[in-house]
Amino acid sequence: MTVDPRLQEWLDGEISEDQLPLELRGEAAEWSALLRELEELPVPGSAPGAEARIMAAVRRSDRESPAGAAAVRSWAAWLVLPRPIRLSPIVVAATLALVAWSLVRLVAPAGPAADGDPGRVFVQFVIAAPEARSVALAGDFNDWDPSIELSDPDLDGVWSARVALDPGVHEYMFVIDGSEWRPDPNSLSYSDDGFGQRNSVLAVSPLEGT
Amino acid sequence: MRGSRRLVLAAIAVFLLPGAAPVGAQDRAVCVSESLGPQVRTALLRHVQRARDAGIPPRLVCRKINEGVSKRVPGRRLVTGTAGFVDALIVAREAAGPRASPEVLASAVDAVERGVPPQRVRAFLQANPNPRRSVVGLRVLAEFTEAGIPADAAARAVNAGLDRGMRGERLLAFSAAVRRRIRQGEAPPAALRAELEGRNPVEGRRRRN
Repeated sequence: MTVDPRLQEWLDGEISEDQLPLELRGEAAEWSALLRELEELPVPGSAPGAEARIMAAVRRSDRESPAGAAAVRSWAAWLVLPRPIRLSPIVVAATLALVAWSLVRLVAPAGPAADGDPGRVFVQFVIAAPEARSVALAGDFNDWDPSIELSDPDLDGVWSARVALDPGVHEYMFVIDGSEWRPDPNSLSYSDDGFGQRNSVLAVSPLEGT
Repeated sequence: MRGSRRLVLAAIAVFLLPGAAPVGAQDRAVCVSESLGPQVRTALLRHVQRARDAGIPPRLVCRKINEGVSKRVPGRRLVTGTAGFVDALIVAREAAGPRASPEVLASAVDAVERGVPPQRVRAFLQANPNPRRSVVGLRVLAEFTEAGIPADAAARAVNAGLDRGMRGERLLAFSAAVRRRIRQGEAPPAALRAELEGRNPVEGRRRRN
């Protein structure tokens, strides 16, 4: 298909429609309609009129928003938008070590069963209480909370528990069936608790070499 | 802008670190439970404050209160027991000095409560500045004093035991053996001499790994 040279000149804007011969004006009208449809087709990748709306919004926000809001948006964008971060290996190693240390501190709180503490010494607490249904241990090492349970696996009435304690002098008592506080009959020393009872006293020596 | 962002990141990192939190929480610990009743609570808080005013860590008093609460001691007895403990604590603090560790203070309180004169406590601690000697040593000094051994002789006996290498449970066993002999009728000097000469010292019955 070839286009009439005069029609081509009109399409190129070199002549006006009035300068076209009458027989070409119908074809020119068809071309005009086609060009209008083409202009209204959406640009690939964006909504119809999106560019105009975005630019209008940008201009409006620049006019209307205060400096604080702009700063907040800037911070938000800085926090949200992905970006490459460059770190030296030593910084990465130190950060990982710090995180690991924090997790260890979080997961392993100080307590009488902190078996990993090299300064602590395991002490075996034993009491004969054949009538007891439960025996617990409380002392200054656990703020007198009777939470350390003794066990009697062979049901011979002798209850025991192995507890890791800091070296030093400790006062303690056994709690029978959750209510009866009883000093250790095997203790070498006792101390008046000020409330009318006697606490057992235990001296834990540090392990050699610690 | 970049500097301030780094500052914010550093602040976030410090905030997320769990290590520092427990210490502050302990310092702010409120040990007097609201379940105790207003009068008991007020009285106990007054004794906690009394200890704090004397420069004594409140946690020592809190521990004593927790002990009484755990043992379900009635309110009035809890208050009188705590008051007596704080009285002894203040005397012990005076004798042991402001730098005494909580462990030394606890042993000094025990000694004061059992009748060891404060000046004897001070002298003993000056002669035994190492807590490995003084913490258990003070306990035994208190037991000897309570058993009727004159303070000077008791202090000399404890020092003699320490000088012979007695520590921890072995020193307590030495004390228990001396007191048993006294209960059985031996004169205190003879009981002390017999045990210092090493006649079958009582061994602790606890097993330890």
